[in-house]
Amino acid sequence: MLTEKTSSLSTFQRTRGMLRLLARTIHHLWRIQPPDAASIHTHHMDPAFEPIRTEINVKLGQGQYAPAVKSDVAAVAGDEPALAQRIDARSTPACLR
Amino acid sequence: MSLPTIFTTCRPRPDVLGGTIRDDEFMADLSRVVNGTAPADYLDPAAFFAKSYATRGMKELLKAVCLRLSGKGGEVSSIIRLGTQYGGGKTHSLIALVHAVRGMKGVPTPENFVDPAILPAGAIRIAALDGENADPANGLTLEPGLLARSLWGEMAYRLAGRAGYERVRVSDEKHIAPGADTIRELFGGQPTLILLDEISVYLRKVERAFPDASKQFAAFIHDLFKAVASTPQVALVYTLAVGKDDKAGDAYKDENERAAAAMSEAESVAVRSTTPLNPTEEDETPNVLRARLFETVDLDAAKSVIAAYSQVWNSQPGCAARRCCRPGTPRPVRPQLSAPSQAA
Repeated sequence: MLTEKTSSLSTFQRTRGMLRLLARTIHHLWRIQPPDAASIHTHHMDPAFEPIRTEINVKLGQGQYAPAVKSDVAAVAGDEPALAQRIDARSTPACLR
Repeated sequence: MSLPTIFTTCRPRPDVLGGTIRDDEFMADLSRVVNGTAPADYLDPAAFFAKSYATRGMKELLKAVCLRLSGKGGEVSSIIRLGTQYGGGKTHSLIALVHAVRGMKGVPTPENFVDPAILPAGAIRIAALDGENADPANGLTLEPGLLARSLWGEMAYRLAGRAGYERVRVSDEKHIAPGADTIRELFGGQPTLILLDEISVYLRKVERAFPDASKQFAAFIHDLFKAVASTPQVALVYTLAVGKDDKAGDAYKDENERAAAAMSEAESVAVRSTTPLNPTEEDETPNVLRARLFETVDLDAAKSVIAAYSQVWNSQPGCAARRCCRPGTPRPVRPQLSAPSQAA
């Protein structure tokens, strides 16, 4: 994802861009410690986490998708959950929560 | 089936773990390292190299320049071009080079980066000129009461101090490029390293301040290349941002193209050849990321995790990841996006 998808954004700066996103992801992961994290996955880059959301919306200039992300992917913490978050909550096995 | 998690197999660096990385953390500032005013992580060679991965391009750069400075490199390696996209490690490589020619003091395993036997023993004159700090309109403060408006004014001061600046003062004030012989005087017969970084940013500013600036820049590059290539133990490294897919689609596209044109014209006239290097090739990126983000990663554990993932993929015919990995099938999702969380 980092080498092909995000690299197509003109605002994404190669190694530096990856470092910025991954540093935020690692910081977040070590705080929440999900039990299934045998490796770092795309779904660990959680736009519900403010520094990651800001990186995507502001630094990468994808702010136009902010409302769609909020309602369909990941809501701001404390808000009503997004669609994907509601589906996850319904169908994730208990052992992974 | 239970796999070890990253929380037991990897240890992030404290600043990553604590989320305390500042916004400018991955934006290295070359001249602040050379002039001694950068943050400790960049200024201290041991701290800097601990978080760096020795890419092929970086090792090649260090070796070529160290040999040239010690008089063994020949003319071929006198001028080196570092080209990559923004954020691809150009400035990082230049900082590594500055630490190397200053002897890599306190670095525990310098041999990972360069053969310690070829590190320069004596003092090296270094001028690091970066477009971000250049200030053609107001002048860049060299010392109290002394300003440089041009690249050559700053270069003269960094190489030969106040006397060096006085030698080219008229060139600096009138914005006329100095001649190759005058530039050679600034080397003072000593091993000398000149670094040019983010030149496109300088060009944008100076073209506004002085109407003839582009032409004077081309003349300066021409004279500089000539002076460097014809003087033993003098090396020059410059960076050039290349756009994605070789289309310069960035904010300084026009200036980059003008800079590139001036460089290649000077190369064709003044020197036999320049050495192009890429600081970070695609396959090296994961190692660069790992060195910066983690203190330790248990690679054996990583292998067993990868093996377990593959096993799950291959044993489940209905698994989406396997379907899209099979050759010849349409790819609704890319394999690298599929996350087999059931592997845990």
